[in-house]
Amino acid sequence: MKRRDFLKLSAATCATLAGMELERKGLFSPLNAEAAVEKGLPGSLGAKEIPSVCEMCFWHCPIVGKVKNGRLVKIEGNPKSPTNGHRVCARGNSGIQLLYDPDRTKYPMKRVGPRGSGQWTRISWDEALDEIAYNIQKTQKKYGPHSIALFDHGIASEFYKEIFKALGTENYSNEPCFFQCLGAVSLAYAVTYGYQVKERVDFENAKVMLFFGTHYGENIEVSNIRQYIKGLQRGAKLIVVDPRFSAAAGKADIWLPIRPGTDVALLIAWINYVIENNLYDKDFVETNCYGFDKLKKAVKGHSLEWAAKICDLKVKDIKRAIDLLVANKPHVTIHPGRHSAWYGKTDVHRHRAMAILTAIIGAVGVKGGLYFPTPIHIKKKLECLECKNKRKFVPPETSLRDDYPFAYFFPGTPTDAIIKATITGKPYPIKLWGVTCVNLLQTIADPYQTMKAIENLDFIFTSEILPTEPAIWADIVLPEANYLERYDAVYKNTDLYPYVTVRQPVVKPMFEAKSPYWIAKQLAKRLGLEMFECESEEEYLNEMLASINLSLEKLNKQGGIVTFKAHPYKDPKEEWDLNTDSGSIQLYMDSFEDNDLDPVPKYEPIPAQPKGYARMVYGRSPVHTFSRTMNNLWLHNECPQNMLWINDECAKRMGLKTGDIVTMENQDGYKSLPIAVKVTPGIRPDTVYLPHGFGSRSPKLTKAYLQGASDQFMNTYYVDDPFFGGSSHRTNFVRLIKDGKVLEFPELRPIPPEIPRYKIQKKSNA
Amino acid sequence: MSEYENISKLLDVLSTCFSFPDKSFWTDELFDIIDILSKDFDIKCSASPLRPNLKELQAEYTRLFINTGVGKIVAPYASVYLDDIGLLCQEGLDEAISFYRKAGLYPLPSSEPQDHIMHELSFLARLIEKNNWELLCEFLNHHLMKWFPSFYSRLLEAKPICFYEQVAKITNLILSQAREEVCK
Repeated sequence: MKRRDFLKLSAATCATLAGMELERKGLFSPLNAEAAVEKGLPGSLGAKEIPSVCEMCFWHCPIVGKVKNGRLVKIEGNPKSPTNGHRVCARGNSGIQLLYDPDRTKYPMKRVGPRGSGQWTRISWDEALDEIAYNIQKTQKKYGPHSIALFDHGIASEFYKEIFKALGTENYSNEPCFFQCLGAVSLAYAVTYGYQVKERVDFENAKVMLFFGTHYGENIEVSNIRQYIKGLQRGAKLIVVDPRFSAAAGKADIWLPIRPGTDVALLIAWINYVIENNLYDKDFVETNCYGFDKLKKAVKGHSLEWAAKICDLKVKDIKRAIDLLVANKPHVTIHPGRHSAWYGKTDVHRHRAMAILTAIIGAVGVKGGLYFPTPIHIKKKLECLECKNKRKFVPPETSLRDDYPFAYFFPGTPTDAIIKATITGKPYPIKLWGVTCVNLLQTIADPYQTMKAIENLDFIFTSEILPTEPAIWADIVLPEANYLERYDAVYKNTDLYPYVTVRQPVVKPMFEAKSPYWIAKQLAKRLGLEMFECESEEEYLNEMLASINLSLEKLNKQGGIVTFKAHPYKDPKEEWDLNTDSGSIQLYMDSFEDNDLDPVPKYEPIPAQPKGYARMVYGRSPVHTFSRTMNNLWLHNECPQNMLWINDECAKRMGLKTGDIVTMENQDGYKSLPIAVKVTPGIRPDTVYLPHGFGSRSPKLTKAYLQGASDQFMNTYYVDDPFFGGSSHRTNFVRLIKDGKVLEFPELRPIPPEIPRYKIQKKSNA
Repeated sequence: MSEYENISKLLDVLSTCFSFPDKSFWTDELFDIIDILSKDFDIKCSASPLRPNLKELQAEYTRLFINTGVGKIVAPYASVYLDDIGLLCQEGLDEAISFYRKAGLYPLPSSEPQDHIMHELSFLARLIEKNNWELLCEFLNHHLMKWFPSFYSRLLEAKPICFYEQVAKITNLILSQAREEVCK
C-alpha cells in the first residue's frame, strides 16, 4: 500500500483546512451495550411483534408489525383479530413500502417557486407552524371567521378538525369522502333506518345477495370479502346489477347489465312488483315501517315492462331476479353500496329505494339481512368542548350549506360549495385552505376548477405522507408520520365480530415526520387555543380506553385486541324504536317533502351519452386504494397502470384491439393521459370503464407519475346532489383519439325517447 | 496538522457539505474550501460558478437530496442503491451499520438514516484518524463504492448548482483515489 502518497493536498488547501472549525465534525460515538443488534434468525423470525391497525385502506384491519433492530421487516394480520386473523391483503402487506419509500415527505417544506411548481425548501417545524398560524390569523382578521376551510379525511384528521372548529369557521370537516363518495348512501340509510348501515350486511347467512355496482373481488376489504365468499360457499345466490361484467358479476347467478343511470327505475319497478303481488312482509311493514300506503301509491304503475325498456334489460331477467330475492326473504342482503356520488340528482333516491326494498321484505335485523351495530361505549375525548380562547361560532349571513337542506347530516360543508366560493368570493370569501390526508385533485369533481380555486387562495398548507398533487400546490407542506409510525385513535369494530384495538407506532417516525396529534397540539398553541391538554398520545388514548376499563398496557397484554359479544339482530315481531323521524323505518320522508324533495324515490332520467360518445364509469383496483397507493412499489408492480374497458363490438367497429394506446377526450374537450384499451364483451357498448386513481400529475411520485389515466381529470361536468351538496362522478362522456384520429363510439343500444341526450357545450378553457 | 489529519478533516468537510446547510453551522468557509479544492483538482463547473446565498443553497439541497422527482432521484442513501427495489433502510443500511460496529463506532442520533452519504464520509474520516486502513479498504470496496458511483452519476444528471457539482466531483475524486492508492 502506498498510504503515504494518498491524496496530496496543496499548501493553500492544508492551510485553509487547518484554520477551519467544523461544527459537525464526527457523527459517531463509541459503541456501547445499548447499541446491541438482534442477530440470529433470518427474515422476520424472532422479530418483536407490535399490534396496530392498518391504514392502507379505510377498512382498518388489525395488524402486527414485525420489527428487528428498529426496522419493520414484515406486516401480518393480528392473529387475535376475530375478523381478518393473521390475514392482510396485498395492500396491507405493502405498508412496508410506504414506510420506506424514498419519495415520502421527510421535512417541513416551504414553497419557493410558483404555486403548483413543486419547488420547495426545507424549513424547521417552528417556521412551518408559525407561518401557518400567522396566515390563519391574518386571513380570519382580514376576511372573517369563515374565510378558512379544511379538507380532510380519516381519523388522523380529527385533530386538525378540532382546531378549525375552535376557530369558528363553518368550513371544517369538509370531507370529500362524504361529499364526493358515500354521502348519498349514508344519508339515505340514516334517514330510513336511523343508523349508519355502512357495509353491515350478514353475508355469511344470506340466501341471496343483490349488488348495485358493488364489485367485491376488485374491491377488497379482508373481513368483508371473507364473509362474502363464505356466504357464496354456503350456497347464497348472487344478483349483480352493473353495466360491466365485474369480478362479482363473474360469480353471479344473474347479471343485469343495466343502462347506466337507470337503477332507480329498476328499483321502483321491483318495489311496485313486490307490493302489487303481495310479496312483501306484511307483519313487518305494519309493525316497523312508516308510510307504506304513500309508498304504494307513489310506485304504482311502474311495471317491470316499463323498467325493462328504460334500463335496457329483459323483462324475464328482472322478474327472475326479484322472484329469487323475495322467495328467500327475509334472509337476503341488498348491499347498500359505498361510493354513491354517481349522478347527483338521483343518488339519494337510488339508495333510499334499496333501503326501502330491503325493509318491505323484512330483510333487516335478521340473519342474512342488514344488521345493527353492537354499541361499544367509548367516551370520545372532545378536545375543545369548553377550551379556553375557543372562538364563538357565529354563523355566516349566508351559509354554504343553505342550498342543501340535508347537509346538516354531515359535520362539514359541501366541498363543491367551498371551491365555488373560493373562486367567486360569494357568499363570502375563502382565502386559506388546509388539506390533510386527501388528494383533492384526484377526488373532487372537476380538478381544473379546484386548481383555479387554489390559485385564488392567499395561502394553502397540506399535511402529507407522500408528495401528492395537493402538496405540489401547497405553500407549506408538513411531513406527517404514516400509520406505522404513530398513535392516533382507538378503533372499535361494532360489526358482527366486535372488538376494540388501538393504532400504535411499530417504528419511530423517520426523518422529521410527526404525528397528527403533535402537529395539531403545536399549531393550536400558536393560535392561542388551549386544546390537546394531554402531554402525549398515550395519555390521550388511555383516557378514552379508561371508559371501558382498559389501558394501552392492558390491551397490549391481550395481544392488542379485546373482543365483545355481538348483538346484531332484533325480533321483527317487536315494535322497534329507531332513531328516525317516526321511530320506525321511513318508507316515506315527510321532511323531504317539507323541503320540496320527493318523499319517496322517484325516477328522473339521467341524460344519455351524446352521439359518438360513451359514458365513463370507474371502479376499484384490487391492489390499490383510491389514488394513494399507486406509488407503492409492490402494488405498482402488480398493477402499474389502469386499462380502459371497451365493448368488443364497439372496438371492432372502431378498429381497436386490446393493448392499443388511446387518449380519451370528454364532452368538454379535456383530454386524458394515454391509456391502453382492454377489449371485452363484459361491458355495455354505451359505457367505458377504468379503475380509479391512476394518472398521477405529481412528478414527485417517481413510480406513479403519469402512469395510466385519471378518471377524475375527465370529470369536468358534474351535477350537485339537491339533498346534501354532493357532486356527481358518472355524468361524463368520452370518445377516443388514436394516432391523432378521433374515434367515435357506434350506437349499438338505442336510447328510448324517455331519456334525453346530454347536449355538448364546449368549455372554452379545455 | 499531519497529512492524514488533513484528509480526515477534508472528509468531514465533504460530509458537512452533504448535510442540509442549516444556518446554525453553515459558514462561507465551506464555499471557500470547496473553491480551493476545485482549483487544486482542476474541477470545472458546467453550471454558473455564482455562489448562492444560504436560502438558495437550502432550496437546491432540498431539490437534490430531500425530494425525489421523476428521472432524477438523487437519494443520498446506500440502501436506495443497494436494495433491489430501491427502498430506504434495507440491506444497505445494515451493511453500513455493521462496518461502523466493526470499527467500534455507533452513529449518533440523526433525523437521517445512517447510510446517508454524510455518515459514510464521516465514517471514513474516523477510520483515517484511527489508521484503520484495512477496514477503510473493506468499507470502500464492499460498501461505499458499490453505490457511490450510481449516486454520483445521478447527481450530475440532476444538473446541480456549481457548489454541489464541485462537492460531488471532489468526493468522487477522493474516493476513487483512495481506493486506487490505498487499497492496492
